[in-house]
Amino acid sequence: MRRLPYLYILAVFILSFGMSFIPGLDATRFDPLLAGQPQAPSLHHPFGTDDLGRDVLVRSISGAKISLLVGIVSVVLSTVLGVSVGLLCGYFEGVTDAIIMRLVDVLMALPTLFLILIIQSLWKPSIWNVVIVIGLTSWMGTTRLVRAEVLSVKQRLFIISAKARGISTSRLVFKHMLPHTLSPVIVSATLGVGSAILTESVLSFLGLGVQPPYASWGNMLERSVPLMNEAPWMSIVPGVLITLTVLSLNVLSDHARAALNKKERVVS
Amino acid sequence: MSLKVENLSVSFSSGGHTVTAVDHISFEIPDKTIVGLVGESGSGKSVTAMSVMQLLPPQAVLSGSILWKGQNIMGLSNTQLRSIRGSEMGLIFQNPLAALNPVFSVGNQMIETIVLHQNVSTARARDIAIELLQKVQIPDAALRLDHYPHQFSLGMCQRLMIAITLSMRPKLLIADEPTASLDVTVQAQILTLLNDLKEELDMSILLISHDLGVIAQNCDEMLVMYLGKLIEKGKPSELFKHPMHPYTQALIAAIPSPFSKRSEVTHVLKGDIPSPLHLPSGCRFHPRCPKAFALCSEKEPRLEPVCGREVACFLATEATSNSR
Repeated sequence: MRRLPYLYILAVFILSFGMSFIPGLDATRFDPLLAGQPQAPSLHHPFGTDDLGRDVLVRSISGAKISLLVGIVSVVLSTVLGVSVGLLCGYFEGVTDAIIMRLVDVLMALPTLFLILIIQSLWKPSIWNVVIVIGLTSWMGTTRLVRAEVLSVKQRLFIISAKARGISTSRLVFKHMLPHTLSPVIVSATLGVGSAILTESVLSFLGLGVQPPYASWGNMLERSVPLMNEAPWMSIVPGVLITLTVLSLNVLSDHARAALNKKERVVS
Repeated sequence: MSLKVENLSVSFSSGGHTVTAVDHISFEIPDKTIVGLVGESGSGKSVTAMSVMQLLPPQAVLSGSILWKGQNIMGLSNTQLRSIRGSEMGLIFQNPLAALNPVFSVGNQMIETIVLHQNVSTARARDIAIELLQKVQIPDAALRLDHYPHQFSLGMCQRLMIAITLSMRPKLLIADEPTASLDVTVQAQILTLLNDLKEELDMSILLISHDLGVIAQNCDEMLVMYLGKLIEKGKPSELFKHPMHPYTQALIAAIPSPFSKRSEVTHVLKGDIPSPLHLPSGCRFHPRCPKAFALCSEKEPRLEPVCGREVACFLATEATSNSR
């Protein structure tokens, strides 16, 4: 039971990234014979087809790839940014820190979703815009976490002792302090992947994310809205997948937190 | 070539209060000597040690001067300090386990230090590290190098810290209660090791301790601190035989002796060390001093030379001026 979320995420990964190696599975291919009339799940189409006769299972797997890509790349971006700024603020304190942290407060107060909507409607909507915008609007939480950790780890004796050995500032920060700030970062990054996937779905649902004919869970949902009654499988499948993925990632981050805490207890 | 501290004061301010942890102290550490610094917890011993290395947090306000080889190191930039830290002055702590980064192996931290200070390749640094571990008597040195700090006992950790510090060949070693958390037998080993290494490397040592036995056995000169002030300094042999300041007398009387009976309770000072937020008027020791008289609460005694040492007590200075 505990392993279920891991298995689920692993399966989504393998299926979505492995699919491109299997010939004949094309998310954009449609069956002209079935167009206009969505088919209910059958042996041939286990999750049914949509109104253009495209296989929902194949599209879901292909959409998973895009969702995971957006989630992971944008979180890597925001984590790198957040950790760097956090280390800077925590180590140097003083005026630099005060200015940057007030800026962080302002950025945190901005409604991210609307910002993304504006940017996506100004420029041609693209998946990379989504990644960059999510990355650039979600690093502040990490900064706060890292800064707080640095402020506390700075006082620890091994840092003072390393300083007394004449070790340079960059080594002190990146080698000796960074590893001690990472436990909360790992937890928040895992959570971040889930929320980035949600943001991507919302954008695609609004037609501002992944553009057809490419599949994403969000734009599959969008397409299913007018057919909710006749073809419920079209909305249920991507909806359940989004929920399961985000839920699994949240559980994963919870496990990470517990594991990291245990480790810390052993060390100290 | 020595350390000369003149009129050093260190204060911390927080929430509108200013606490003076070290108040106008002056002392010298000549070459190849061991100077002992004693006092109760909170007397400012560690703050003194940290200010000599300029390692106090930025909130600390320092004044006075710290001359190292004639150069005032107070207010030097971080880069300038880095050339002094380690290669000129080394620091070891009371809690050696906490002084090593738990996420890196001991070898990693030693090699890092050796590469930095001796300008050698990593492979050569590893050999030097193994030699040093053997010198501080850690068995299976080559194997132990890859172990993490928590896999060592406290005594071993302290020897590791000494080995790391010695790899930088400092001219002055500041040992902040190096044996306080160790067993007596291990304590003896560490002190012997420090003495041997001092001879071998021509170091001077500032030995901080609250253990008067340790100080008496190892030091050439002894400084007694109370609430941030130096109150007596001189040769340990003389101070032990004939302590002049009532506080030094009390410290020496408090050493438990195996020959006294259990009923003969050793002299215990009344009260606690006062809060540095509300310092007593006059002599800081007067509320606890068994020999205090009216003048003590009014005027602060200065550290004055008395028979080959320095004491800050009216009784001591009076006694000598009367006998003159």
